Amino acid sequence: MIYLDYQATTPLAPEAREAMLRWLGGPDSDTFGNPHSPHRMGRMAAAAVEAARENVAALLPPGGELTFTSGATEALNTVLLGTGGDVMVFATEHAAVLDCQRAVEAQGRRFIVVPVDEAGRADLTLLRSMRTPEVRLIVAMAVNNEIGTLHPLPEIIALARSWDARVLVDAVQAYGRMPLPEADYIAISAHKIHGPKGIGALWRRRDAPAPAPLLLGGGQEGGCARVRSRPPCAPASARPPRSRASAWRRMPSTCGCCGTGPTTCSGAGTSTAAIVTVIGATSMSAGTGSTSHG
Amino acid sequence: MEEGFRLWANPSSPHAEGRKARAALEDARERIKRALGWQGELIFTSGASEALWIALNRAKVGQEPIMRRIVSAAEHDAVYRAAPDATVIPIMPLRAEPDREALAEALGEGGAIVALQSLNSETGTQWLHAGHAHSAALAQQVRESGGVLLADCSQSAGKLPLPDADMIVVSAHKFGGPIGVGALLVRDFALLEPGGGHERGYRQGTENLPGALGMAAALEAGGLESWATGEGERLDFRQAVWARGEAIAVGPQCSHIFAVAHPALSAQALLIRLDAMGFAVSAGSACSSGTLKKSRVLDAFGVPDDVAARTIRVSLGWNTTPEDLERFAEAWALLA
Repeated sequence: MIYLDYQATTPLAPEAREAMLRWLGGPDSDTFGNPHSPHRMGRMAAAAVEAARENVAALLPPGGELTFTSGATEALNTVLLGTGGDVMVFATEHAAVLDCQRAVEAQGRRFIVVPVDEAGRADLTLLRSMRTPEVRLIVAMAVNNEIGTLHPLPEIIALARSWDARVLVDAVQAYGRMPLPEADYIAISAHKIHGPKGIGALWRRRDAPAPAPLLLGGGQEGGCARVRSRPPCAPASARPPRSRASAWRRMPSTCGCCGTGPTTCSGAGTSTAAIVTVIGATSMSAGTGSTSHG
Repeated sequence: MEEGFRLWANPSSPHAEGRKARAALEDARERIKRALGWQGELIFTSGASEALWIALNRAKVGQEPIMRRIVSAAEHDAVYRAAPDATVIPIMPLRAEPDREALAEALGEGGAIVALQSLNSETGTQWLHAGHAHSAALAQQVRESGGVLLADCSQSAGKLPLPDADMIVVSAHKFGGPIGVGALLVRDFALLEPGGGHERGYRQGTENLPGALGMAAALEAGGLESWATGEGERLDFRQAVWARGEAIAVGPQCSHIFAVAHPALSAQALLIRLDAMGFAVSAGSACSSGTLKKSRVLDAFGVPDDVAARTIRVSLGWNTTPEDLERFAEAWALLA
């Protein structure tokens, strides 16, 4: 079967698999420790998680903090439910965002769904007119998962700044493929970039408030996420596969993943170069843990 | 897991590749249910913490969501985080089980969910176990009030039969499966409020197929029977270690988790000494021991502070060999 459904998921890259295998050690290995155990095996696992954190962060804007989650859904839910004030989202967001409506409203906050224009892009006029004075969070996708549309993120971020609101970018379809804007929060997923299923991350600008944890227990990941830090997956997603570099370079000037053409992805003409830059940064950081970004 | 890595399509995609992944996921679900002897439903989660959260926050009776949550004072941290407003039942000092009168009072009439662990992760104390009279009595007390019993079987699943409960939480990496996957077993979906587009509408997020297959394979490879055959050996080992220190005996206890206090050395010093000698043990559960703060669980069981400060936890797995036990017992004797 010729698979042309890379938005749904991607195969695990051989490099990612290799990186994981070391931490899926058997009974005789010393690589299955719980990163929260104080003994040597635990400390080894914890160090691997930290190295992975730096590598994943290398493809995100500089000056942020990264928390591993069980996937993008958890990352998105954490910010939506763990921050205060009214929330504005666009009608074309992923279900992981739209399905939070009931829970956000149950917290006594407004959940405002803003329609998109004919091209599927955020309608900034409507965004302005539907805003309430209590809006503190705007959620926008970097690349739409169904039609590849790119929202005008710089404009949305500028508006939010003037309203004293924060911006959460759902970058599941964009991370590792195009540069990401300096939002306040960014949610990413490993299995969309040839990493394993079951892990993602939430990036937060240092000056953005830490969202309250989803209260899902555990106290791992600095008290922010509830799931155990997981060495087998973390190092894998830490290494966006270098072998994919050539494939990405061959992409036309679209968002680099949806391939829907220049109309939908207009303005992304720079992305090819950006992707090459990002890959370069990854190659450098994979060995050194450097967080330098293109 | 190898198979899961090959079947990499999204199990929720409708094309042939997606359907193959879906079929493998459903197969893993059935195999796990069979291995655990569970007749009800099974929802895959990212681990025990998420399963606990779903159970404690989405349980319902009839059409009514359950608002009242009751937990014991010796649960895992994840339980308190999932239900921060829960009524906490103290432990009866001598009988090492939840105070039944306090439980009765908290239960009142109908509509409460009670979270109890089958096995305590720090002392091995056994509260919920198939066939134990005190376990049956606890379940009966909860049900008679119209409540729902949630058993946190993170420490016992795959080693001991599942207890009689309405919902059960299991974690794959505690029984030889991979980190990052677990499950919530539910007697009947009528007990749970839906929430999310995956796992039959009870969870969000793309399914972790390699994790699910690894979980199924680990359960099949282990098996309750082979585990049971090592019981005598484990009990002898515990006795030998306890004899050279202070036994933290808060029974009834299982054979694969126990706590012991050193006559003089602090837990922290013990961890460092044992680490240098090549032994990995912990003080408290790993999740809180990273911080080496005082164990809330030992406190709940009435272990005095000065004893708790010298207490370590020893826990055994499927691949622990008699030689491992012998070597640890010797090292412990040298320290004590």
